[in-house]
Formats: sequence, C-alpha cells, structure tokens
Amino acid sequence: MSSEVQEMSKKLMQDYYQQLQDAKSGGKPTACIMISGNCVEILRAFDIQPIFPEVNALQTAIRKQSLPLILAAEQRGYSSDNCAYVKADMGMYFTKTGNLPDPSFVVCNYVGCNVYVKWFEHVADYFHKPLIMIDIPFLREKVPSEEDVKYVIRQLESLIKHCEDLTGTKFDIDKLREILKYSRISEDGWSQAKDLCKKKPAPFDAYFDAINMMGPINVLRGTKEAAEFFMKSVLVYEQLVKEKKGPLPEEKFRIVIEGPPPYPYYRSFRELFSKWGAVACQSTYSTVGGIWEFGFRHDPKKPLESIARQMIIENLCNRSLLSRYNQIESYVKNWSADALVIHSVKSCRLFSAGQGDMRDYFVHSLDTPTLMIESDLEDPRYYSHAQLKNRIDAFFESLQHKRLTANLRT
Amino acid sequence: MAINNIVQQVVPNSLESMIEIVTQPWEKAPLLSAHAKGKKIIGCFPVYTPLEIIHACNGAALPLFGGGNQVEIMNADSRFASFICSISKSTLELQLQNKFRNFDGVVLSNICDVARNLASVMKRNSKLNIEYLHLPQNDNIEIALPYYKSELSRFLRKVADITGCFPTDASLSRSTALYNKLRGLLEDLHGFVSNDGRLGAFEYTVYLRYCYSMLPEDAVTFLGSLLNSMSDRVPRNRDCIKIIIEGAFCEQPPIELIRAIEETGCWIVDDDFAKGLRWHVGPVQEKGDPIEMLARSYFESAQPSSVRHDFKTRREDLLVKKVRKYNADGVLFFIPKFCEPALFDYARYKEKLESEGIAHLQIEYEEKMWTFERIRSEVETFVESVLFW
Ligand code: SF4
Ligand code: SF4
Repeated sequence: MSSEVQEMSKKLMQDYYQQLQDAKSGGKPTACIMISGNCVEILRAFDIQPIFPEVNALQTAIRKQSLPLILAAEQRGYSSDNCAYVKADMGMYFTKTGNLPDPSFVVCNYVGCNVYVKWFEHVADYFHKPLIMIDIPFLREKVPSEEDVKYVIRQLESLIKHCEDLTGTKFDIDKLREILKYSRISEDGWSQAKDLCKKKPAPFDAYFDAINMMGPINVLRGTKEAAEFFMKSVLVYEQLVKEKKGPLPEEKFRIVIEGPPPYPYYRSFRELFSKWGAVACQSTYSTVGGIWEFGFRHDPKKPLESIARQMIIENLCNRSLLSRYNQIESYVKNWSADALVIHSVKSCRLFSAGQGDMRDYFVHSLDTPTLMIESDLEDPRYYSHAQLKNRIDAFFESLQHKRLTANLRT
Repeated sequence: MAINNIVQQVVPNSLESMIEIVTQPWEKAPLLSAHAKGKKIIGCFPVYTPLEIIHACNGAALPLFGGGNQVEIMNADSRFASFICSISKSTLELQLQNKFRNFDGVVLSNICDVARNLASVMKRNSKLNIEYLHLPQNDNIEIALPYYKSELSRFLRKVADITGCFPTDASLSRSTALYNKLRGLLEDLHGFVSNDGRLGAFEYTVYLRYCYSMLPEDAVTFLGSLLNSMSDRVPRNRDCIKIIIEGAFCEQPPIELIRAIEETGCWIVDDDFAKGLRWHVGPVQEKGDPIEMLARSYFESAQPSSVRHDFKTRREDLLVKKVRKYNADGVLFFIPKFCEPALFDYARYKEKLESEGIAHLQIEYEEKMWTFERIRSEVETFVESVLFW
C-alpha cells in the first residue's frame, strides 16, 4: 500500500473537515448532499460547503463510535432493520455529538437509493431546513431518454435558483465550467489509477485502499486540490508498477470485491484477506459515487447536461442489479481476477437484495469462484470475526488447492 | 358464472371462496380466463401501477401481493438474504415455480431498493417481460409533470408491445372512466367500514382484492350488487375501540390476521391494506389528454404514502388529521418485517403521535404467518390499555 497516497488523502480530508468547522464558525452556507452520483460541483459554484452525512456516519464507524449513536436512534423509534448509516447520522444529532455545522438546506440527490429520500426527509425535518429534491430517474433502459435528462436538468436549474436565493450570488456558468475541468482531471486520475490495477501485482488494493481515492473523488471533486491529489497519486502508482510493488509482499490471489466494507472492523476484515495474499484488483463499492473507469467524464462544454448524465448513468447506485453483474463480469475478465467476494451488508439493501442471485450467476453461468459473506457496514453488532474467518479461510484453501492441482496437471 | 350469481352465492356466505381467490390470484383470479381469449395478463407488483394504461392496451392487469402463506419458499431464500422482506421472496418463488405461466409481463416500480433489485432478479430468471416504472419523487408538478407524462407514454408503448394494441386517446379515456367508476364504488363500500362498521375491514379487504382479480367491467357489476345488499346489514355494535392501521401498503398480512384483530375488539375505521388499489383520492379527470390527466392525478390527488414523497405535506400530520377525522382511539402500525419505507416512517409517526397523546402499537408481521396468538394477545392488551386509559 502506498502510505504516500494515504497520507495525501488523509490530509485532504482533514482540511475538508476543517472547512466544515470554519463554515460553522464563520456562518458560511452549507448543504447536506449524498455521495452517490452527486452534483457537488453546483454547490461549489456558489461556495456552499457540502456536508456528506454518509461520510460522517462511516467516520463514526471507523472510529468505533457508531454503536451508541445507532442505539440512540433506535431509542427514538428507528428499527434495528433500518440502514445503520441513517441511524448513526441521526444519532449524532439526537445526542449532539460531533461538531458539524447545521445545514442551510438539504439537497436530496435521490440517485438510486430510496433510503436517501427517507434519510434527508428526516434531516430536513430535524433542522427545519428546506429540502431540494433531485429525483433521478432510475436507469431502466439501456440509455436514458431525452425526457429523463431534461427532467434532471430542470431540477438542477431549480437547485441553482435556490443557491442563488440563499447566497445572493448570481450563477456563474464559467465558474462551474472551471470546476468541471478539475472534476475531469480527478476522473482521469481515478481511471488511470484503476487501470493500473490490471497490472500484476496491482499497485494498490482497489477495495481497501480505494477508500483513499473515494474521499477526493466524491467529496472533493471539482477542487484544484483533488485534481492535484489524483495527478500525484497516479505518479506514485506508476512508480510502484515499475518497481513491481503492491500493497502486500506477495500478490497470491486477485479478487474482485462486491459490496461495502464493514467499517467498524475495517482493519481486521482486511487482514482476513491479506494473510492469504489476496488483493482486490477491482471493487464495485468504489464506484458508488461514479463509474469513471469506463470512460465517462464531466464535460465543461455541456455542464448541466453532463452532470445530469453522470447522475443518471455513470454511477453504480442508479443502475440495475443486472448491469452490476456486467460491471463485475468486466472486472473479473479485464482485471484478471481469480475470484469474486460478495460482502453482503444488512444495512444496505441497495447492495445486498438479490446478491444470492448474483452468486448463482457467477458460480453457475460464469464459473467464477465466488464467496459470499455477511456483516454490516456500520453496525458492529452484525460482525462476527470468527465466522468470517472460517468462511474466508475455507474459500482460499480451496482456491489454493485448485491452483495446486491445476499446476500439477500441467 | 354470471357475476350476479356469484354475488348471490358468495355474499356473504361464500366469502371463503373469495379468500381462496385473492390469496392465490396467480392461479384463481377470474381475469385469468381472459388469457384463453387472447388477452395478455400483466402482473403488477405493489404499490401502485397505472392500471388504466394496461386496460386501454387491451391487457388484463392483475395486482400481485406475493405468495402469502400459499407458497412454500424453496428457491428464493438463496437469492434474497434473511433480512429481506417476505413479499420479494415469495414473488420470486412464484416465478421460479412457474406460477406466472399465464402471465405476459410483470410491472414493478421504485418503491424501495428491494423491489428495484427484484426486478433484475426476475428478469434474469424468466422470459417474462419485466417492466420497471420510475414514479416521480419530486413533488414540484411544474418540473415533474412533463417527465411523468413521458414515463407513462413509455410505459404505454411497452405494454402495447406486449398486447399488440396501441390505444387511442378515446379508449384511454374510457379506461380512466371505468377505473374511476370502480374506485368510486369501492369508496362507497368503504363508507360502510368507516361510518357505521356494518362492513369490517377484513371483509372489505377481501372484496377490494377480489374486485381487482376480475376485469374492471365485471368488478363494477359485482360491486353494484354488493352495495345493494349492504342495506340488509346492521351497523356495528359500538362496544369496541376505533383504530387506524398504517404501514401495510405493500406486503399484505395474512387475511385471517385482519379478522383476528377485529375479533379482539378493534373497529378498523381506516387502513392502508393494498393501498395502491385506492391510490387516487377522487376521480382522475376524464376530459383532456388522458396521459396528462393520469399524470396530474398522481401529483394532485394521490394518497399520501411512504413510497410517494410529497415534501409539502408531512405524512405524520396527515395521520393525526385522520385520527381526528374518524375520532379514532389509536393507531396500529402494522408493518411487514424488514420493510424499510414503513419502518423509517414509523420513527416519525411515533414521535408525532406521542406528542399528540395518541395511543399506538407497532406490530411486525410476515405474510407467511399461520398462527396469530402472539399478535392477538398484544392487540388485546393494547385495546384494554386504550379502554382503561
Ligand atoms: S441503503 Fe445503502 S446506499 Fe442507501 S443510504 Fe444506506 S448504505 Fe447508503
Ligand atoms: S414490503 Fe416494503 S421492503 Fe418489501 S418490497 Fe414492499 S415496500 Fe419494499
């Protein structure tokens, strides 16, 4: 793993949280927005500080602070079966923990996940702040219709109007174009970095280390700092490829991982794979915000249209489960993976509903060795280390055995 | 059998035979016989589908409510994890067991993340036409209306491809008028549930689902006779508490469970069982561009719902209003296990009802339940607590 990239990412995210503090103390306008297929560039064009409740929720999980927040929300009537991201976030408000600014308004970019709508209804209600809905038509045909795109553009225009009213600033399309140029650079960098994982060994783990790129691409996209981060990261990864260095001393297995990670046990979960020399050469979770590796880029020449298209088409969340199968299939084939690991999380039905069918497809139709394991991305109560270890060990033992017998035959 | 004969024979004595039909509509729905006459059958997963469009395309729309407790889950459990609602599994199971063999298509919509992925899994596992509707969630009609009109037109083209019949505006308006009539009659029938209780919610729900298992033309005739027979009934004895049921809009509880609740001394004055079948409040405009009128009514006269987001009206305020309107003693949240839209709304409802001092109880159910003793005793305790509050 490149600690250099990790450090750069850490620094960027620390700065981002500092900006949130500054916004709070300076009374700057802020807006809550979700990660998936977001339109953060528009907020940036008005210097509105974006707040990402998903990122805040996952931070509490990584710091092992999520459970009391989840319990606080459950005490208020949330169910143990509701997405724990929502509960951790609402729990922060209920318990008055964290030092985040209140949002000036809430942008509900309803991009695939229905929970987003509920979540942001609750946030807007809690803060008594306006909710601006960006209803993104689900990608139910191969390509969206012109009406779908127009619908999104009209909603973006209404968001712009709201931002103008809030900030008293006239919308400057040239400023948005500049921001989108930075977005493009980040997207290029993301794509190149992911492409380098086709090499053996992959220079970084495209699941566990991809988190270092996910902050910059989803939260900070459109900033100069994020663009520079990606340019530098690609150089670091290229160098690692030259030196044939990967995140582990030896890359023994290449895997594709589907589903979000268990943030409360990120490290120990990772170790369960590392000890087998298993490196993720691709992952679907890293594409929740956007799928850049297949060529899409924001277009400063068509600012609103390209934002709309990204929200509708170019992110994992707004696509059907079957197109996720295609995405994984391409990852397995083009990134030369040995196996698929499906991590099914209870909180997120967007990811997990139907993953049994996915396993069936990969095992029976594509003959891809597939492991399915269960826990949660936020709620530590659903993580059983011993059980996961048994399943993961058994899987890699059998992969190793297969490889040995195949080698003997040849 | 002529509908009038059905009415004579089954109302009320043969309610059991209607229950058999509504709990296994994929096999027993009267409208399935239209398949033999060349009509295409389109199954509609909850919550809401614009049935008028399917009817105008000369199709037969059959609302689906999962497998209830009528299908043994043998294959679907391995496709959907243990923490996923039952209706998604039982619907898939029905498909995997080839119970939809007389169907030509199934429609689903963006009610939740589970239904959305179910559409994909069903598509991969059958040759059925699976259509997915994206119902708008932006309540700004100026922005959302053109989109929704285009979505309804797209849906119409898809259905017409299946049925081979592209309707004229006149036939679309006729279908709208027919469904208006059906909904109006059902509304009249519901009056007997909420006003004087001469009809129980259990029985009403059976009729409601039974009506939609027929072609709407037949359902209208059936309802006409049924409404006439209501005058023979006596209003309900008032020795009970009035409650409102909320949360059962998608996966349905076993029909017998509704009866069991009524038997505990609850007069269910209003409920949201099979809510999609009562989606529109008041008639859809019959004059003008029929697609536009259908689209408009989605925004202007649809029921508040956990799966239709309307940010101008807070659903919890509407629930309180409803409690006041019916002078209800409490609310029973009847929620399918693992149903996120209902569970999320519950958190807000709960807070509101508590601040208003309205009694409520939350119960989770699964469609495949057979025994209701536990729920019955919880509801009995609730009834007692309300009575002696
Ligand atoms: S359901 Fe999944 S995508 Fe939606 S908010 Fe929860 S974790 Fe995020
Ligand atoms: S019961 Fe709830 S979770 Fe299940 S399909 Fe229906 S709305 Fe979705």
